[in-house]
Amino acid sequence: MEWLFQYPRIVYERGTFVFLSGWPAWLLALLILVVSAVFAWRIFWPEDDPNLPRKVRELSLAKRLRLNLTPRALVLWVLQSLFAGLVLFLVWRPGLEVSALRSQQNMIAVLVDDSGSMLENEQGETRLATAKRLLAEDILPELKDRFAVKLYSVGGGVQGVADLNAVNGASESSHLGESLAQLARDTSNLPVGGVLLLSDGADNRGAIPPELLAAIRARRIPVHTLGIGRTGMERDVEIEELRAAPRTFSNAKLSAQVRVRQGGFSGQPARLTLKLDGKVVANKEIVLAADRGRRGFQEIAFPAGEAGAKILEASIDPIEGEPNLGNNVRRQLVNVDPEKPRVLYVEGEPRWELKFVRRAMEEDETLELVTMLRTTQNKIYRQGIAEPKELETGFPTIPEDLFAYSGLVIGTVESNWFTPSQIKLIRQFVDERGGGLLMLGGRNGLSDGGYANSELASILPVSLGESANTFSRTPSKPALTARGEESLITRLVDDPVENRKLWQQLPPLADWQRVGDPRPGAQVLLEVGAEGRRTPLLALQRFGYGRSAVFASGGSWRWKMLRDHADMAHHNYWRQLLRWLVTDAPRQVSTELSEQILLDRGDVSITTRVRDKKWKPVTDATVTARMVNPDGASTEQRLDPVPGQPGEYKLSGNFALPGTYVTEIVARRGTEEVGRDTLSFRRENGVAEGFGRVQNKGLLEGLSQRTGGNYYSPADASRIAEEMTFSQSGLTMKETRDLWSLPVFFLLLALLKGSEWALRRKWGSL
Amino acid sequence: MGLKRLSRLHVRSMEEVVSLDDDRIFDYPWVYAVEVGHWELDDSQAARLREYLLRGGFLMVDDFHGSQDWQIFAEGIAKVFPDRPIVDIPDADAINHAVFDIEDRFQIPGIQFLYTGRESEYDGYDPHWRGVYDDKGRMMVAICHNSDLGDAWEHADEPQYPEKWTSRAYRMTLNYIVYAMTH
Repeated sequence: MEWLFQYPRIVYERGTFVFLSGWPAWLLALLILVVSAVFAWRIFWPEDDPNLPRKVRELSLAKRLRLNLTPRALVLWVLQSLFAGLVLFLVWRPGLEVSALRSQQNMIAVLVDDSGSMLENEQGETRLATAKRLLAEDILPELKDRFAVKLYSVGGGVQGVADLNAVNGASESSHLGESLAQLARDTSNLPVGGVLLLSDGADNRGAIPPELLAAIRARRIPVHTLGIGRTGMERDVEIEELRAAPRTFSNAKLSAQVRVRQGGFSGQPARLTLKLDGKVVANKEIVLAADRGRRGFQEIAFPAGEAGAKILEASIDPIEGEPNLGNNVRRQLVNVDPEKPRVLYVEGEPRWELKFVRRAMEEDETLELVTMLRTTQNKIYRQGIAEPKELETGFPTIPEDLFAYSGLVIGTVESNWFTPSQIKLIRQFVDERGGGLLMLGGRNGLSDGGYANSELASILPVSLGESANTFSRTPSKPALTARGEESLITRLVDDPVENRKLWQQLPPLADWQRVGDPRPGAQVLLEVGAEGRRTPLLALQRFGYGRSAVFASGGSWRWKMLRDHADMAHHNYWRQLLRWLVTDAPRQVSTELSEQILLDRGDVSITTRVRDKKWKPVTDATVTARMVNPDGASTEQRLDPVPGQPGEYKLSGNFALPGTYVTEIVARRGTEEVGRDTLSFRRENGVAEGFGRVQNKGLLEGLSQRTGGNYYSPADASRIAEEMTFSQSGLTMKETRDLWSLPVFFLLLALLKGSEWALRRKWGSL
Repeated sequence: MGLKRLSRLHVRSMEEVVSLDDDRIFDYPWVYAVEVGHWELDDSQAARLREYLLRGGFLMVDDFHGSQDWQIFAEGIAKVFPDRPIVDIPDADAINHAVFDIEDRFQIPGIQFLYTGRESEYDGYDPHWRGVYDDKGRMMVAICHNSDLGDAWEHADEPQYPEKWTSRAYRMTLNYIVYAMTH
């Protein structure tokens, strides 16, 4: 097809349309209209032919005109007008203005992936050999004719090489993003017209981080990619991704999400196993490909166990005939915190819900439940307090007291029992401190408690109507939503099918409360009420730094009283709900790592946020990190304040030894300790290259698209050199390309005239 | 009415009578039984009461007097919990402090006091405040032996019935109920 259009497609994509004659376009449009009108007059205007029948001659002009407007006449008029219009268009000299690199004045960087995965053998040739062959035969000769070409090898970084022989697949890792960002920095003084990357896209991170992509885009250099390697898997199973919360508290129930991909084993059963520190904690039988689950992830629940830094490992048992077993296992770290988060539950009147929630949490070792119950108008009954003075004067009135809790549950308490400043404090508790708020239904809860008009209404995951009388003591069954089926909170038993059945078997709630619609972004896990008039029962969302939830009932105690005493449905529900409430609630000193598992590289940054008891940033803290290395040696380093981020401290380092590093962060203000945090990360060498044995086409295509380049397959190799000419980076000049001489136009003219001639012959007269 | 006035308990104006054989008993996690010196629990009823209590139900027994009543009651409880003892409730137990701090527990006679002038019935001269606890130390059965708290509530408006017994009966009961609703 290219001969019809004379130039490569990229010229049309990048070029700007112009008329080279310099005559105005409006004149062209006018002329086309005039010519069409003349043709119309000639074809449709009635003739005064005396030979016509008298009946016709006596008709009005309009009727005679209508007689001439036959389909045949219309077709001929269109053909003639198109022909004349096209001729006029060509007379105006249409052309394309395109920006092209100046010959021999620009540099083209050719990057060849030097990582181990490029030694994968496909159809008798390694990927690297394919890349070298394509370069030598199809790309480099033509590129060198036009530009200065510089060769680089890409692995853990980017390195200039004299010739292709220096690229031998020796690099243990592949960090495409870092390499390209480094190239962009190193060549900042050079007129780089474009980058050509030959790779299988096997990046150790699996993606290019946005900040690196931004650094590459900032140079405005198009990165063209030539994808090497097969795009579909052949007889291989891979744990493509493993996700689990990086930190949790002891004995919490966690969920691991595992994405498995396969080639050649579709429909075969496989066993997915989860291990924590080498001990099997869960497993699941799956069917490959056919059982990828929602969004392609398999979800498995497992217990986090006692406190400590643990290695979570997801693996697929080897399948007979699977040659590559190096990608059947993935690991990540889970830091299990020894500190128990505390949850404060405020109840405005004695009711059974409090008793049974307390019972559920008494047997839970992951968090502490503190309850305050208004037994009489002036008396508060406190349980679970750490010392006699705790909550002695009632609900906290200052941030230091409330923010010491990670979660807050408000039962059937009228909103005006709280002072306006306490309501504000509760809002800050969620928004700024990052705590979790759960509000329960009740005769003085939610709308009936007057919360629709309080400052708390806007942080809840559902809207609250202003009308009272939303509370009903008519027993009603809870219904699990699609979201609820996926959530760990409502996972009362591990098996999803059994879980659904169990929810159907649970006794009706003793009471429930109607609430409004869920807010955008909120999740509704349970509903209640008659079919067709359901209302959210359990809804949750993130708000500010924290999270909020509504459980619109005070009657879940029936799930305990109406089932066998050994049944755990009620207890599991409340444990999981309250754990969710405090998961991620930050502590005064909380630390994040840039990465937890370092694959073949050692760069990691540690960022610590330090807050005082009022949760205000501490800017004058001394923050130190004591690091215990895999060989047992320990070092102590100081974290530096991050400019412009009050209360944030950062430490970057490179860790060469493979194994687990345990870091204890301590923040002090003078001699007083503000708090401490412990976490860990792990370096693994020689693992990454076992993964991603198929070409990561998505990564390469995405990289090209985002930088203004093109993705090519090996079959397109011969086009690359010419198409790279058209770039806006480097030293460029504007080139114009005539369009009037395109064969497609002449073909079109011939077709129009030929059609008219053929039709006239066939139809004779009109 | 007394409970409503003294506390924030949301209670019905009239009692709800349920039988141990009725499934509705599980809808009432607190039950009050009187004259349990005359109860006769068969095996299925004993098993049912055990299940009720293990699920989290609470039983308060009252208005049974003397050693014979006690023996019959204790035999019934032994059927329910063969391996759990009936123990005296210590003064420091949370049940004596849930709403009111009550340590000097005295006998609360029934309305018969007005006719006989006796504070006790049969040979039940001394009040006993006892309980049965679960494995986690939570009381499941509260036993008021040789007292009649029920009469003290019922006859609160009887001018001749001493106010101090009514007042104490209400306070103790409120403690028992709030305890049952929090433990």
